Amino acid sequence: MSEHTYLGGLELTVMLALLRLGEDSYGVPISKEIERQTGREVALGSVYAALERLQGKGLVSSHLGEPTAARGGKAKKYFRATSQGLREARETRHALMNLWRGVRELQGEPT
Amino acid sequence: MARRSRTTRRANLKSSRPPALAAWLFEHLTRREHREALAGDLLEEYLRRRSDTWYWRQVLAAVVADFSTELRVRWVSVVFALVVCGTVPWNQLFHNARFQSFLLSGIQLSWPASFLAGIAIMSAFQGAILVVALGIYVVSTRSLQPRRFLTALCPALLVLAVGNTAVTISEVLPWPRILFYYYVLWRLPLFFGLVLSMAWSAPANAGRTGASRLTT
Repeated sequence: MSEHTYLGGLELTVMLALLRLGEDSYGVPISKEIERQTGREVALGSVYAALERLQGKGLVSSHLGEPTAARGGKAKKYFRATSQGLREARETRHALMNLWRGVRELQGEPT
Repeated sequence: MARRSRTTRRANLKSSRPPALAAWLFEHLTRREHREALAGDLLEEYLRRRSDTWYWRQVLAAVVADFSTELRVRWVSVVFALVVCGTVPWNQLFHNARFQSFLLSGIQLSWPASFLAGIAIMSAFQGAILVVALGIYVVSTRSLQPRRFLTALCPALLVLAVGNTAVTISEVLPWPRILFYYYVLWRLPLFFGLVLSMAWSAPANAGRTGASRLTT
């Protein structure tokens, strides 16, 4: 039995958006990246809930920035994928590719 | 001229503040864990280009997401509340001669005293069950803190009163009584009151795991 906890649904989407953004990132750009790439608006609250679950699994780390007046004195919370998070994303990709491969109904469709 | 600039200033001030009720709900119904960061994000986006409707939608989504996380983390409390609500012998109680005469003495009063008496009797009865069940919960989870215990009872008793009022009103409404209607309906106030009181009475780290600790 594998010890991996494969990422699924929103967690995977958020993790991929975080990886695409590269540097430390916070809720707004993550949410926008998801919207840009998938065409679906995801509520910021749902993004944070997913990030919290990822953090609980040790796949993401966070730190608080400085509070700014433009945000009503609220600090940004920056997130970054951990090395374990990167490994889990790779494993998930591998597992999904295995499932994807050889599905006759999906062959010939643009990727 | 001066009046116009005052009006413009007021309009600008209004547009720079999100809807007050939505902000209040956000402040009181979401968890402390990421509240500040999320509040900042929402304000940032709201000021940039979004509408009141957008803000409301985001707040409701945040509340729902946090509530589902709470349920996931506090599943023991939820199961315990279900067991308590499921095992209370409501039928025997309602057919108990003493309880019926007690209830009838309240119902036979003139309106609205009869209405209030019925709600008070049901709330008092469920409140007694809630106190015992909550006591068992905090003792068995070793999270007994008298002050927290008492603080948790206030909102729970309020939930019972509001819930029993809603159930009593629903009794006279002409909607179809589906299967288990009474079985489920009369248990709901106690269920929600108990879940709420357990969340309030448990210390910050009780029933939580790892970095997914929640604050109440």
